[in-house]
Amino acid sequence: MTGARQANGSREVQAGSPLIEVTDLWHTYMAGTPFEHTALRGVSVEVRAGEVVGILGRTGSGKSTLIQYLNGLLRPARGRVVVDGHDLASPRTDLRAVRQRVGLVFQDPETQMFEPLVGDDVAYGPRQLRLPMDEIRARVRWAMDTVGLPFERFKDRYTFSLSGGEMRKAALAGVLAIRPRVLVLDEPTSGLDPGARAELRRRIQDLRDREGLTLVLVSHDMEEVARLSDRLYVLQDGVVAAAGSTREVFGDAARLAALGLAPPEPVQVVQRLRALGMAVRPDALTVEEAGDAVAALLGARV
Amino acid sequence: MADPLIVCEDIHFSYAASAGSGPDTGVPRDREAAAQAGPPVLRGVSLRIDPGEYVAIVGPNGSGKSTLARHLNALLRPASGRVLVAGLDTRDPAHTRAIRGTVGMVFQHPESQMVATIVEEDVAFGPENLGVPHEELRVRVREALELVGMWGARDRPPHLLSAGQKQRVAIAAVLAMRPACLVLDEATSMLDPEGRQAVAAIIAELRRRGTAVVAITHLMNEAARADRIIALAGGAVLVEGPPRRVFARADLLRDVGLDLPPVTAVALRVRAHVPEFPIDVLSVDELTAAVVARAGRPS
Repeated sequence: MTGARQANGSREVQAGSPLIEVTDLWHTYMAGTPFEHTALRGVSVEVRAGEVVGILGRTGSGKSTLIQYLNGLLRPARGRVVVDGHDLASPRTDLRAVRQRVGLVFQDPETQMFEPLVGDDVAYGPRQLRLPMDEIRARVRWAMDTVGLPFERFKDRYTFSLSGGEMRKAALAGVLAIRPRVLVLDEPTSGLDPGARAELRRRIQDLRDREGLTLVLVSHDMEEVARLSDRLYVLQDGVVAAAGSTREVFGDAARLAALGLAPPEPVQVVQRLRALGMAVRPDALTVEEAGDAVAALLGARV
Repeated sequence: MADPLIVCEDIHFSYAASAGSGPDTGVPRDREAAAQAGPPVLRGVSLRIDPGEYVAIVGPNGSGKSTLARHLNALLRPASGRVLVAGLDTRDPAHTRAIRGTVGMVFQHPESQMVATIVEEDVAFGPENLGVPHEELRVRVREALELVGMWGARDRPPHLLSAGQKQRVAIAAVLAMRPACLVLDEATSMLDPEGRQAVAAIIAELRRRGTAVVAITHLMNEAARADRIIALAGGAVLVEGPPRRVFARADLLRDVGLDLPPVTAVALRVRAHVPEFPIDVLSVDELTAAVVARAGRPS
């Protein structure tokens, strides 16, 4: 509710240069065994500088496989992935450079924290980069402050003493401290309580709006995707089944339903009213926009 | 009124007070250790769950929800106060077996509950341990797997199932013990919308059959479907009642960091501009109907 960026419409997407280009990408797990499974079948996706790209799809649609290509955890056997000029298929590509540009935050990242102290855990990435000590410290300070774990207060805390929301933020800070240009977030707020979820969403918005990061967001949470994303790709059975601006994709209720997804409930309300012939503003995405649109329909000055 | 299925009477609990509760708690050891120095987790919780009732327990992280859930089948025992399950006091170890047969638990990560390499065997494990005879066992396993829609996958290894399918198998494994109450501890928080829908359908079927369900959840639109919501904050009951009554206390909920269901939040936003607009709406259908009723009138 609070801190919601006026979803999308108010801010034109700056069509930056493509930072990540995925072209006709295929991926097969356990090829040649009875469990062979083709997870990606010719996927093409583009991520431009400064935008938030949402990736939607049911479990098993290929989302997690796709994002592992975005920072070179997987390298294409068939298809092309170019990250900020680095072609991942080329054996000469410097994967370290790619991983510095694209930070991947897995689902439940807090389960991968291993240092006893928060500050040390956040410093792990920059240490691996063999940066000078004062640079590491500066980055850790910036990353922790940015996610809302003030450095001085949290650096010497035990990681296991953090709340669920704080742990999630610390794990995010650990990736931020590498100073990537693109941040890929897999289900960033799942399992958090509503308060922690709302706060983390605000922090994620700030990463783009204030820090200028480019974001790729994988989420089941339609409300979250509607609030944060400029553009969406919907995957189904390893294929891009729908793509477009967030309003376009959520606006096509029939298509979304065919893909096994329901738009956020506020969008459903607006669509239902329009189906009944009511002149309610069609492109409302969030709780606030839908509430205002309905109030306007009822004659209120909004 | 029927006898209550579960009664909690003024229960207090802190992890420090029961450090001996051991691996039973399901709480990771390091976190349990961390909580030793921490404040009490439950501070005088009283509640009752009736047979066949569907109750949602909501609350911010750290409010004591999961700790409370673990008291409902004697995974944890109160430091003071008491919990009665079908009249049996959970503090008496002699009752533990009967209590766990009455109240079954399903957790967030179904993998933590899987024991066998084939779905059917996994579901049979619990009742087999209860000494259920073979013929009866087969009936129960089939019934449980059919109820969750996984009978067709009975021969498959659980690790090759999707997260949603695993969770359905975990639920079947508990249902095969024929509990009077199923406790779901954030069992849908890792599932996609389709997986959540499947669990909602299972809950609806259990209600039809008279099995009580206690669902601990962060998802307010899920809680909105329950008969009753109990909201916890700081280890105590903040507010409880039917969803409409609880969500009417938006101020109280927001103070502790809880949300409204999205539809109710839209209604509240409308009300900011249209003073008499109702906010006791819980579904897209209800909100649509409320708008239609007003749009029809001249304003």
